[in-house]
Amino acid sequence: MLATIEEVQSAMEGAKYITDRSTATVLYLSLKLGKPILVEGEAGVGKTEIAKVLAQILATRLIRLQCYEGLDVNTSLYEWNYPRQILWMKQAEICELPQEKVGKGIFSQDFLIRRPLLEAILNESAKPPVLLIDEIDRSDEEFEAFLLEVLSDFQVTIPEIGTLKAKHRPHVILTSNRTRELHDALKRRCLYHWIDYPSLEKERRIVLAKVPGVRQTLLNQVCLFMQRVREKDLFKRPGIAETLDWVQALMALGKEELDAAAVRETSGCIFKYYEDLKLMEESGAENLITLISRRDDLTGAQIPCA
Amino acid sequence: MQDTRKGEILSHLLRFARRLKEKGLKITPGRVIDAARCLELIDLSIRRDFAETLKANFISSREHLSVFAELFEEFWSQMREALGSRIVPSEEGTGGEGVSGEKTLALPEAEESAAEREGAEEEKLMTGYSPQEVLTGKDFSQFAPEDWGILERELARLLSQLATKVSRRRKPSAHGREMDFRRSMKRAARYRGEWIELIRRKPKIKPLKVIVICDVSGSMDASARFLLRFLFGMEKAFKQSEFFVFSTRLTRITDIFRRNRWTQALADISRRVRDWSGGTQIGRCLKIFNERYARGMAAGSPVIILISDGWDRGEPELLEKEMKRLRRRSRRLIWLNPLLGTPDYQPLCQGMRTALPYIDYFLPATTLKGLKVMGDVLLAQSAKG
Repeated sequence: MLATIEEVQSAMEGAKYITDRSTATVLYLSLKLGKPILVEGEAGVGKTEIAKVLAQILATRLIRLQCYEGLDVNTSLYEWNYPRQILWMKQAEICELPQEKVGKGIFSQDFLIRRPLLEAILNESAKPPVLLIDEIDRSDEEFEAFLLEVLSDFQVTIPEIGTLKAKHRPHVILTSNRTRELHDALKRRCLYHWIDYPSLEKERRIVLAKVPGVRQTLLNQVCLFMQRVREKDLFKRPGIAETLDWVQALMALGKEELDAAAVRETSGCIFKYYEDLKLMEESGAENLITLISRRDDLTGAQIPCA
Repeated sequence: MQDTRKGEILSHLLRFARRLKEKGLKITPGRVIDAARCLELIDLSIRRDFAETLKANFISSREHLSVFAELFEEFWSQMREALGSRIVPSEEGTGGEGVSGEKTLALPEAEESAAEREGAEEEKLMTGYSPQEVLTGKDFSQFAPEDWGILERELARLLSQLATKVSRRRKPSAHGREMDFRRSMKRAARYRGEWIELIRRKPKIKPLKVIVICDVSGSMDASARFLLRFLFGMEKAFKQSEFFVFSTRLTRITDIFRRNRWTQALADISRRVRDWSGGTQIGRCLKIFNERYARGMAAGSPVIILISDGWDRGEPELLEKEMKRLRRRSRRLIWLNPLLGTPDYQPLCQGMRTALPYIDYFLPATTLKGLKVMGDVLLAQSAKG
């Protein structure tokens, strides 16, 4: 399994992740080389989803580390279980255990709380897990430097225990929204992949895979609408996540096709900023609708349903 | 895969990597090795796989995509020519020696110097300037303000308070508000688990990052020297700060501030800033800032301070767009306007009206009182973390 690029791609599509060959190629190379992937792209194009799907098709665990500013070793790697240590010490005191035994006891692995990175390193199962380091750009430079160390040899030293080394190197996927530039050293260690907004055809296939009950007309209109909307100069362009939300919202409202009223009622699914909402109201969502309905018959005929 | 073919491709690959490096991509030997390993894993006859593979290995940012695409075209055709029909899936090469190090690394001299010439031309293009610029190497030391002494002391006090922000990281402190379990536990182990000492911690103070973009166009002449003196002081107080001046184009002056004493700095700035007292193109200069500098400097959420009277000769649409981008980059956006201190001033000019919606604080610039208000704003930023 997963011995060629085609197999990776079809496995991903089997897991309902519609993707192009370039994504499959990068995943394939990463699996073969054991090199992390750095995935960048606008919000809502399915960066995080890649890791989830990879874990699914490899039938292995997904370990996720969500980054934020101020994330440090204690919350990403390990922490001692202090309350438990105290209880144990009190117990040892009552039972009059020898002192050295207490010391050894409370600093053993039983008292260690594994945070995501340690979990990925100590994972016992035969298959290496998928480690997702999400939104790395949100963490600060100090953490990035530390991460570099972990990613290069997958071993950590805990002073009280010693050095722990991963039996199997996890598959690592890092994602970034590019709110800041990452350090070159980290980038060098990764294969790079940029995910763009999907093409019309790809988006149709994605919606169809995720929302199987969608009607053909609605599907075409929604996808065309999204393609047009992304051409506009918005504060936040809607991603695939928004498309899926929107289709589901429209279906929940019983809409069979798109009209100005339907867009107005559900515009909160697409536009997440007041400025964008206003821009669309002013520049006329109606115009877009007419544009789409005129082209609807054409495209419906041209693009066969996937 | 056969050695000969691998060797031949390798020499092309090395040359390609070198060309990319010349274009500013971060190519390291490690990356080239990985790329070569990757090529063994794929079918070389499929062009898009070939391209994807090299792309994943060689680029590390979206901006590199176009450079890559351009050079790859050239690389692919060269390789096809050199290896010709041998790059087909069914091809079985004849066994032979791998290519030697000397051969792979030897590049024709002519090609290299051609690349250099290209680079030089690019540089030439980048340094062009607009005709509206008034090229006056103005000597600032002509102005002699009377009360520098008091002012400097006041500024120094103000600045030292400003230079910090609170981080989410913690450090131990005897009077901290939070308990530090990790350290307390370790300490308790020393006393057989008796919690005799409780260790506390408090938020770590982190330097606040400040970026200042100051207008030095003709309309700002009266206050420019005064403001630069203030910025010079700021540079000393804030460890992480960046300074720019602009009128028709943007000039970074952080390094001048950093290296020099005040009088020398002033002389250097007047030498470097060629468009002193020129017209004002706020939108255009902000665009340059956003495109060229902001990406690298925006980490650690800086406070961005713009100093200008808002008389903009450029298009308001451009200014608006760039203000929007600038705001997104910043923790807080402060606009200091020297005219704001004067009575009856109303922000009516086009530029100012365009920019106002994107500003967090709109403050006077030329009075000490005005700068103190800005100080309070920055202090409030520090306290909130």
